[in-house]
Amino acid sequence: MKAGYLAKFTPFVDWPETAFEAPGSPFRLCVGGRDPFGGAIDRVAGVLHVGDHPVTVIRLPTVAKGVGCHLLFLSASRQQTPQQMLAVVAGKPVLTVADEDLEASGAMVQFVTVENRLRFSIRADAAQAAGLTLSSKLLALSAPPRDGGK
Amino acid sequence: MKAFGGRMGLRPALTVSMAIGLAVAIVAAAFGMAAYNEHLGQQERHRAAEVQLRILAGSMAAPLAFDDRSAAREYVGAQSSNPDVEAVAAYDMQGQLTAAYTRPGAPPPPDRNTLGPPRLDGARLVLTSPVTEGETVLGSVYLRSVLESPARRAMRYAGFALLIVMAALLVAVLGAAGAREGEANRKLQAEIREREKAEAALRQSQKMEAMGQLTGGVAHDFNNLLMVASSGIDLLDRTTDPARRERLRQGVRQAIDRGASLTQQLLAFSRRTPLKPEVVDIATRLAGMHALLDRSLREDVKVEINLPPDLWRIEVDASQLEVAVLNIAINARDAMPDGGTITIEARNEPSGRPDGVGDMIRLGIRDTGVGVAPEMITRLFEPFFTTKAVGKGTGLGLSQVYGFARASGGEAGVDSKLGEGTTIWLRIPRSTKALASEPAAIAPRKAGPIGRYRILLVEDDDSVAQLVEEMLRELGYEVVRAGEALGALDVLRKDGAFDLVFSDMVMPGDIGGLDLARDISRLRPSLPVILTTGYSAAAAAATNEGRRVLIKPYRIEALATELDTALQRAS
Repeated sequence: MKAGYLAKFTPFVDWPETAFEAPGSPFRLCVGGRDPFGGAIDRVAGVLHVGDHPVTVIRLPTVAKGVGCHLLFLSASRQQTPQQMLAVVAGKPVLTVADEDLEASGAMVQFVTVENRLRFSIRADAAQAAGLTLSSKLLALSAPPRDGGK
Repeated sequence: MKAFGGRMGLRPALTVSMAIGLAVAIVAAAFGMAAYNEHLGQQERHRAAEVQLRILAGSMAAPLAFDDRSAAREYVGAQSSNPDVEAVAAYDMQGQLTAAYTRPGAPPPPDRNTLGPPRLDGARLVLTSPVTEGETVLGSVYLRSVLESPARRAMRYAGFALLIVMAALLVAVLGAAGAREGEANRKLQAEIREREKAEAALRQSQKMEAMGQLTGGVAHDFNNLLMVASSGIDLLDRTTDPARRERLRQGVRQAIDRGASLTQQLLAFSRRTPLKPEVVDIATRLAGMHALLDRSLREDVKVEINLPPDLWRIEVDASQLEVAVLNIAINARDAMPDGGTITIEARNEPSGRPDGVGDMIRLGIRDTGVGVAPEMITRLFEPFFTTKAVGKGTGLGLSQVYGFARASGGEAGVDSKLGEGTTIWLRIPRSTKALASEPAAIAPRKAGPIGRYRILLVEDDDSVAQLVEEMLRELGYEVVRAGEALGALDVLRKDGAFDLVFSDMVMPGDIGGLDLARDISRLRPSLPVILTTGYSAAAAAATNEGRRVLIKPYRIEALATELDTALQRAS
């Protein structure tokens, strides 16, 4: 479910052209920390395109600089706190999506469960600071942030 | 007339059909416009539905992508604010129904959406659209919109249609009424023309009847006069008693005078005699008439002339004045079968203006007769109106009086009381001109210079020619007669030694007296021509050309004067 959501976020987000090396270069979907998806994310990414860019899934047990992620899924990790992961990509046009139950108040998108349904809350200011444009349609579906918008 | 009526009948029918055609055209145009409007409206509604669908598809992208059913329901439900929308549904990527709105009473949207072009389902428009974000297909939407139901549409157009039909009916009815009115008008005009024709025919027949009366009366009067003249001449041959001969001679002369005055009256009535106005002193004229009046009236009728000494002068045709007075006097005489008095009186009627304009002289002739019934008074001056027995009067006498008064710038009227008498009066404008010198009486010229002057007489009537020749010889002229104008020209060409041409005007042949006079003026301008005629129109034509005309009948004295004047002028 979450893997599908990650794929579905991409049409609603605009990455700046400078985020890609070339028009046909891959879109890197990074999974930081422990991978919760298994093969599901590969299946989703296999048919997904972001604009002209094919999608490549990169699993990063430890998030480090120089990978060039476009979307970073933050999962629980023993090596790094979510804040450490976020700090690595801070200032870069990387859509950061935090798994639910993860204390990552700096992530742009945070999965939440509302009434037993998977929802998400969005911090549009964070995305804007990173140079990403989020569709208002996506924002309209944003659930109220659990931490009160911090 | 039949063909005429048929032609006239065709036009209104054409107009009626035109009116109906116009009405039909109005209805047709209105319905055409309505259909076109309806078509435009349909397109408009299609477009509106498509726009709505597209907005829906756009807004449904995120809710479908993230399976946010509450948001999907909210967006779908928002479409219900458009009353035309009957059902809205959103389907996820697998084509499963995710959210739906159905207006109460309407069939629900299908469970699975099938994409396709807009289609009409009865009065409903079904639209479908995929939901995409970027190039990612996220689901689809379904929109069913109610197009206006036929009943509702009919209701909407009913008022409009009613108006149009009313207008068309109005046009048709008005057009038809107008056409009928036109037809009636044409009929009326045709009838008016018919009536005018009938009236003209009636007038013509009345005129003919009047002419019959007139000619009858005139012939009777003339026959009497001719009888007097004829018997007078017969008796002249049989008697040698000078006193008796003189009486007979006077009788014949009187008959001739009356005949001449009768024709004068006829001409005055036909208003063809040119008036020869001259300044006249009424007193002198009436004094001169006393003898004539006495002769015309009976012995039991007394004539009194009662004129003030300072009576103003008038400018009229003197002979017409005399005829008028005579006519009134004869009427007065006939109104007094048992005798009585005719009083002729006159007075000045000043207008009171310092320049004297409007000053009139009133001449009244009063009798002590039976009077005129009030209903007759207005008809008294009508031509041919007479109360006398057939043959006793022409009905022209008082009409001459009226014509004379009007032609002289005045008026004539009647005051009468039954049993007490009648006054017929004339009011004539005053003239301030000097009195014309009395024409010197012409002595009969017994001794003329025989052979001194040669005259060419042109006259077609043998008896007239014989008498005129006799008169001319009597006056001392040498006479050659030609029977018509062409003959006269022949004579003139062969023999130029004439001093004067005396020609009748109305003659048989191609050229008349006036043409002859013109030819002579061209051929021999120095040769004087005198024309003579009893026909006033001819006389007027000649006078207009400045030619000398002697009006028939004339007396030997007048002939002598005319010839003398012409010859003196020529020499």
